[in-house]
Amino acid sequence: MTVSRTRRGPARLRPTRFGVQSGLFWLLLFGAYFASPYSNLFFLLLAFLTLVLGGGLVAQRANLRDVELVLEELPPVPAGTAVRVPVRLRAKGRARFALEAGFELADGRTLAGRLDLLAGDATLELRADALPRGLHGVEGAFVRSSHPFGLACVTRRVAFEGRLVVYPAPRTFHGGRSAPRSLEDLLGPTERGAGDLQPESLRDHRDGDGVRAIHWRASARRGRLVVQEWEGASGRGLEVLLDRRTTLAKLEGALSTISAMVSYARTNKETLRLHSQGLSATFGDGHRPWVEALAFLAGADVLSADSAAPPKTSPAVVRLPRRSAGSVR
Amino acid sequence: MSTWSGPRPGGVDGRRALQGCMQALVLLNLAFVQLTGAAGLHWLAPLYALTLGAPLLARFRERLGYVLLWNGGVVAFFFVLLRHALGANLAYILEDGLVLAALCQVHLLNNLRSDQRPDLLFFNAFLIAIITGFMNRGLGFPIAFLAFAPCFVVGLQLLSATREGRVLSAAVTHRLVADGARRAGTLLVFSLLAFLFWPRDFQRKAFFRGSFELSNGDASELLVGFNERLELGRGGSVEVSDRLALTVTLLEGRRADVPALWRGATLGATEDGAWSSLEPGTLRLAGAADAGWRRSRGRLVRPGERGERRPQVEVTRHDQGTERLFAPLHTRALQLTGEGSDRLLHTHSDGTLSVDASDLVSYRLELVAGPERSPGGVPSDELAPELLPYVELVESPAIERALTLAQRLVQPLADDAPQHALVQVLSEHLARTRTYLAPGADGAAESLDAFLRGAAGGHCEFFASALATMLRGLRVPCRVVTGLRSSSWDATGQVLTFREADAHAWVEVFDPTAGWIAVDPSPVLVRSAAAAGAWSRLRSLAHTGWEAVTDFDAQRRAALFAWVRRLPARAASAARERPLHTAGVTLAGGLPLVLAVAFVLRRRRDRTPPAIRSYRRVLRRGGLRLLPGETPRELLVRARTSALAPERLDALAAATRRHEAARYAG
Repeated sequence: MTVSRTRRGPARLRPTRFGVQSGLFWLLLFGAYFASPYSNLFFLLLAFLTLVLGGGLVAQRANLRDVELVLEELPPVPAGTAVRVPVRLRAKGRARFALEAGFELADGRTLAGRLDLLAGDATLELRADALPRGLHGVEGAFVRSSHPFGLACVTRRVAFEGRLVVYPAPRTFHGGRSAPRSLEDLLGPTERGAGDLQPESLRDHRDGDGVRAIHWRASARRGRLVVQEWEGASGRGLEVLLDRRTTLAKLEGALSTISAMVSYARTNKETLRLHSQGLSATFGDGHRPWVEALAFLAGADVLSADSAAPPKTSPAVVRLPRRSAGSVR
Repeated sequence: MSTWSGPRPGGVDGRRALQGCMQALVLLNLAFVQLTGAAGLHWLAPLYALTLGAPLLARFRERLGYVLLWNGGVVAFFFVLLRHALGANLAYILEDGLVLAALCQVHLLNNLRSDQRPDLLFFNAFLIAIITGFMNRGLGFPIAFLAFAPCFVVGLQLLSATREGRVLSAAVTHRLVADGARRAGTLLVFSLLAFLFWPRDFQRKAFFRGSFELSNGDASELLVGFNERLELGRGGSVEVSDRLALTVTLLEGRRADVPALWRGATLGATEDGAWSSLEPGTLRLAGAADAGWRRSRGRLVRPGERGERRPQVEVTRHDQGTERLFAPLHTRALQLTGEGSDRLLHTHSDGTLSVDASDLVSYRLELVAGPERSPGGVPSDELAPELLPYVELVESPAIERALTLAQRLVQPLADDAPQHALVQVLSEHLARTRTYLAPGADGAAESLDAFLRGAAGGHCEFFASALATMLRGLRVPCRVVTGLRSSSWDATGQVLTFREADAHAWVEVFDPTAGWIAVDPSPVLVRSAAAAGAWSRLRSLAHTGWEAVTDFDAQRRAALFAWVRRLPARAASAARERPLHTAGVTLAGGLPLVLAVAFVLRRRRDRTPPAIRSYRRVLRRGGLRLLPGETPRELLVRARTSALAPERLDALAAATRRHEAARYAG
């Protein structure tokens, strides 16, 4: 975590259109002041306007002074959907108004959010349009404001090096299913054929369990809802192999599926063992963090056909992309 | 999360608050225009109504009929103004322009669509305020501007905050308005400080002086200033200039011996309500009544002025638009100094002076404190020939009325009453029964007859003309005098200042014993608070304060600087000499300040919940400090590994629990 006070960052002042108009208006009045005989009231009003404009610029800098931007590792975000990233802002003393904070990405995009009032501290949600899958470098953070009069936009940049992990949007599947069943949802009938999974045990129904999982006969016998569990369910985790020697479209599909598996495993506190070219790791509690799995998915590229094969695994391990008829490798 | 208490139900959101600010700005713009008199209330009333009805009219803005009606009305109004401007040969172009600007404001307020920005309304609003400052110096202006400034500043803040269609909650709007109001107050204070201390040329002429002349020759604009001819009943707009005309520095003698009335020209001839100088031939004849000038050792001397006390002054001319040299009636000697001293002086038989070139900067005067003998002679039926021009009158209804009035007023006096008593009765009657109205004021008389009838008030020229006419009707020799009147001595008591607005007219009466004496029938312009209540006293105070702003000049600024510089020394001196008194004053002045600071600090404290204040207190006592990004719970864990005393640790744990409850549980 990094805490950056905006006092230390360099400030850049860019006049707004209204600021330019105001400057021209002031010049006009200044010229009129000298073009006419001296008048106390004209001087007084011109002094007031000058202070409004000059004081406005000073107040703009003061509005950003000592604003703390708490910068943490950016959470991974799914591709293809509007991005929402929370950041914390803190300011001591007086209230700050109309603050805009955000990150500048290497490709020129910005991830920004606006806070109308900051009194104490607040969490600001930064937003951006949907981003493509990938590892987006972050060139820096910024806080800007045009409060109080909107004459100029003062921006204070804060040094921040990091990356925004935009992982593949997970394929949707029905929640409350066992891992194998969910995999079936994701993959359709596996290569081993439908129905090759064997019932393993019965357990009490929990919120989120699908209706299809309910074992009605056992439920009737026991007088409460009971669901059937299948072999390969919780405890053993998921294992998947990704062969990147494929087409881009197929790779995207495979990554989306794995992304869904990651999502499932995280939600259900399971582990995921992921094999691919250059990677063979287990993710989850007590293993490598999920963000690394997502980062791998975000940065995964297609490999040429003559590239090395993925690590050898048991034939029972789900292999992606799925081989289909006519597609021979 | 934000520590702020959250939105207030039923508040006004940003957009509505901005609309309210703009509405207030336009209303104040209309008030500004009304203050200038550029348009009467019957013209402005529809604009007021349309401004007040703006929220109601907003719902029709997108309708074609509304747009057509509005634009048609605006075009019609514009042509009416154009016709008026052209009809007066552009004499009132500034006033017409001001009304047009006000119309634009009302138009903008009622026709801005949701996708349009009201930036122009703000620029226009300030422009109207500035132009009004040129045309109106009354007390209404500062009152209107004090209301205008916060609306302007708050409006600008709301305008900035609601750009790009942003929506502000009622609570944020409330905070923003409070912030803007505070900022406006600060800006006003700083503006006043800049006004008081910023160095500048108070006598600066217009950069394009003389290049533009909007008014034609017939346009009747009265410039309040010294004039060598007096003509009653001139109408038209009035320009009052506070430019410096003359400064008089006391070199020797007492301030009290320097008179307030400084004559520039005497007007002995009258006809049809106008007063002018006597013809040169007549003036030469009449000059025997005046103490004449003689050259002696490089200076001009009037041997006839033989008073004892003789203060000496140096006069500096600032406004050199006239060739007349101003000097009191009883001046004994004059000597030109500095640049222009070789210029040829003209002495006139009536004791006045002029100089060939108007670029003479300064001259020295030796004054005489009053006539040698006190007035008191009885008027004589037989006047000396040199005095006859000073009792001449041309018959007119006004003169008939003046004579009747004068005879009625002096009737109670004994036949052998001194002339001085007679003059006093007439002068006091005018001062007591006639209303002084500034030039161009509403209800001012348009003729001497109206003034004498008591139907209308008037300014000094009416008072002087009325007195001189009545006196001449009683065959008392007199003449009207134009010049300057001022008692504005600076704080040091050494410099007397005359401004163009100090131009004045009074009467000089020939007393059989004392010779010419000055009589000023105009009531003294003291905004009397004696007979008035608290409200009038307040008004008087406000007038005085506002005049200090409008009449501010280099000398007052220098005096202010001197006062500020002397303040520490004076305070130290006062503390030494009267310690108890100083302590009392300091306490009386300082206590409210201390209370105000305590109040502000208390308010700030109150914004922080007690649990968080208590948590901070425990941290201070334990010598602990939250690291950046560290939560109270993390700090507690860190504190447990440190050598913190157990009771402090318990206190910290309890404070952490309370803090979390206050911060997150609510």
